Amino acid sequence: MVRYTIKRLFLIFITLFIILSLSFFLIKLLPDNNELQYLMNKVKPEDYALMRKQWGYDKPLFVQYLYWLKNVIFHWDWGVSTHYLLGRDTFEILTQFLPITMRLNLVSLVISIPLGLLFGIVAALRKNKPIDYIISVFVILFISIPSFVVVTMMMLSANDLGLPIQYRPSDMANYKDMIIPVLSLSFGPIAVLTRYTRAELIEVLTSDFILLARTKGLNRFHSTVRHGMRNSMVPLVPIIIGNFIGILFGSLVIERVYGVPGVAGILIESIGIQDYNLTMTALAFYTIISLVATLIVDLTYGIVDPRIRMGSRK
Amino acid sequence: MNEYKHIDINKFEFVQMDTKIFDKKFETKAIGYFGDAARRFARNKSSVLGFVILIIIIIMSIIGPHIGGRGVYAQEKRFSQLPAKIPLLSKIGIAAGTRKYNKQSTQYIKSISEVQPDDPDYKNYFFEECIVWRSKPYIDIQDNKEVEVIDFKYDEYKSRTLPYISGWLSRKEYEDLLAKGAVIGDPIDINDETPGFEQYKVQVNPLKEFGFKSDKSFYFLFGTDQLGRDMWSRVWKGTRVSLLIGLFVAIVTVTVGVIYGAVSGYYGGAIDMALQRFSEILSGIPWIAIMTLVVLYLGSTLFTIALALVLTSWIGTSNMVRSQFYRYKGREYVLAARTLGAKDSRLIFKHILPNALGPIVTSSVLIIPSAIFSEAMISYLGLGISGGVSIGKLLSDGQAIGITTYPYLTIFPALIISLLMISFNLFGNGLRDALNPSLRGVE
Repeated sequence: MVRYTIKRLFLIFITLFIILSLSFFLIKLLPDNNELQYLMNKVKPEDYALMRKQWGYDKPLFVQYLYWLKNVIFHWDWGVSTHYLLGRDTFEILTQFLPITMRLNLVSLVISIPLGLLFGIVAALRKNKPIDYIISVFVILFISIPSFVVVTMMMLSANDLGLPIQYRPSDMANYKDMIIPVLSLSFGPIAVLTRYTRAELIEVLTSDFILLARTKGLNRFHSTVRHGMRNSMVPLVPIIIGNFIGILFGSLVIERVYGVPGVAGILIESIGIQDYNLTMTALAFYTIISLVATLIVDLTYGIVDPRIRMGSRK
Repeated sequence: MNEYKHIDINKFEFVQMDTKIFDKKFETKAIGYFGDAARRFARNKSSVLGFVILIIIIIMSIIGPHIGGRGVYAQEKRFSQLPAKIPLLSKIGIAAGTRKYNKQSTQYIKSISEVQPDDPDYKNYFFEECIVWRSKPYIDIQDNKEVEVIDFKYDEYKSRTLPYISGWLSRKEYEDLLAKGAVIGDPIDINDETPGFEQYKVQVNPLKEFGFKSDKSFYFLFGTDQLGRDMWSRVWKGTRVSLLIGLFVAIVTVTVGVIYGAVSGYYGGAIDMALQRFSEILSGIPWIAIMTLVVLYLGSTLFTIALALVLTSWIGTSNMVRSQFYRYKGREYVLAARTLGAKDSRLIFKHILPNALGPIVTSSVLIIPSAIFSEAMISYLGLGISGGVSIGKLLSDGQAIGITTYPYLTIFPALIISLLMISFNLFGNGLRDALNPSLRGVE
């Protein structure tokens, strides 16, 4: 297991390196790359020449790439913004917008896990009873209806609910501005978690050791929570982590629709204004998070079921 | 073997050629895999419901634009931004073709019953953009009152000296306009530049021009957008495009994914490692990066969007197929087949792959809604198809115009995409249960 983990960690770095190098060249080699257009219009010609030299844009692309790589690895310097906030460190810009995105994601994760588990347990214990059917209907609805439709519908009724119709500028924003995006991000994960919890728990509850627990005198609650949940929790861990990736990428659109000033906005906007250093940094953020999450999912699979050995021979 | 070859063939005789067979012939028909699956699928009511809704949506996406609609691309500025009106639902207050107006509204509002050529007030409101509302005679509009609007604007042709001798209208066009019920305004002297020349205004009532018999028959089921295009036709056309994207993505994804996953899972070892690293790198790239790069390099056409979607979605299928191969390749029956001399290709396609048939069919069905979903997401991010219409494009357009001002532009596509997702999921779930061999015969 340890060897496998080390191997995977090593491979993650290689993967990350390849992805970032590939993105670097693909983005910088775009047919109409005018990265420095904004700078040229903004400053005096002699300053422009100086800054261009200082930022290394006078060198060939491959040399630029090597410099970029060196700066990232040794100095954690992701390059300067060429448009969005001219001359500012792009990583600094990212960290400015990161808290709001992370808050959105974490709050909706924190909401969705207990609710998903709760509904799943209720549905499993009341299997084929009316409450199970009601939960099933909602599960199918919220798994199916896209989050951007949910956010749109909530924005339509925002006035009646007394909530802001768009995310207000940061000096006015308070917890009320989080309600609509967090809720619309949570419905899907809650439904997914409910479905899996129900399925897992129903399977576990029919096994012999639950019967044994009941026969030795444990009541329904204790047999479910102490024995049932503990056994069905383990397969749910990968799903919860998977949910996190889902929420993260789902929030791209939600942030965009609701006007939340988060990382999604930076990513999209930087592409539009050709601030490619910023694009690279934002992409690196999403790449690192999804790679690490995939690794954790794979590792938990291995813990759950030792029979699964990824990469074994035929 | 060879030592028996010399025996005369006539010495052999069939042992049981003349004996009577006591076994009864089967009178019932054997039920095959798919027959059994269809039977069990039909028992699952919610899946059948999903299937029916799906079929209705597919049929509507094919014939929808041609019935009840008024053309997909026909722009008609004079009919722009009309609220939706659905005859039956309007009685209970949904999609009643109404819009809120208040006193501060700068537009001139007039009841349709007053729009008659002999109306003395006629040209006053013809000469400016005016909103016409139907039903009751003129009433003082209260603040935020819901008014049922027809909301068409009159065309205005300018002409000098005589309406048809001009740069704007030929004589024939002028007569055509007259036939459509055009009304010529009084000559207006334009003194400023060329004295002595006069300008006429010719107004055409678009209702007559477009062949609506009365104002009662003038409505758009899903309303119209800001360019005056019929939303009903656009929604169904968009549904068709989205479904086609989904279908294309599903076919390519399954083909690539099955081959890749089969090779990777069957051969294992170094090949598996190499192939897995490649797909891992590809899946590690966030889909937003792939979309952006593909769109930036190849443009945002239907094909490139579908291509970008395939690039990210085949990995899921190949992983699923790969894990199926890991599960089955060590089984005794595969070992037996290999011992008997079966080739790799036979083992892959004949012995192992059929085990994965159920999951493959199910996942290929479920790829369609996820492709539609992703396409809509891309549209929301401003990278969607240009110069066409899809569900996502309609949604993001409606979003851009303002969902509170013109909610019907967003609501109908949102309704269709939600229905599509729900019915696809119900259908897919039913299919998964029906095609699961381990559930076969268990009821």
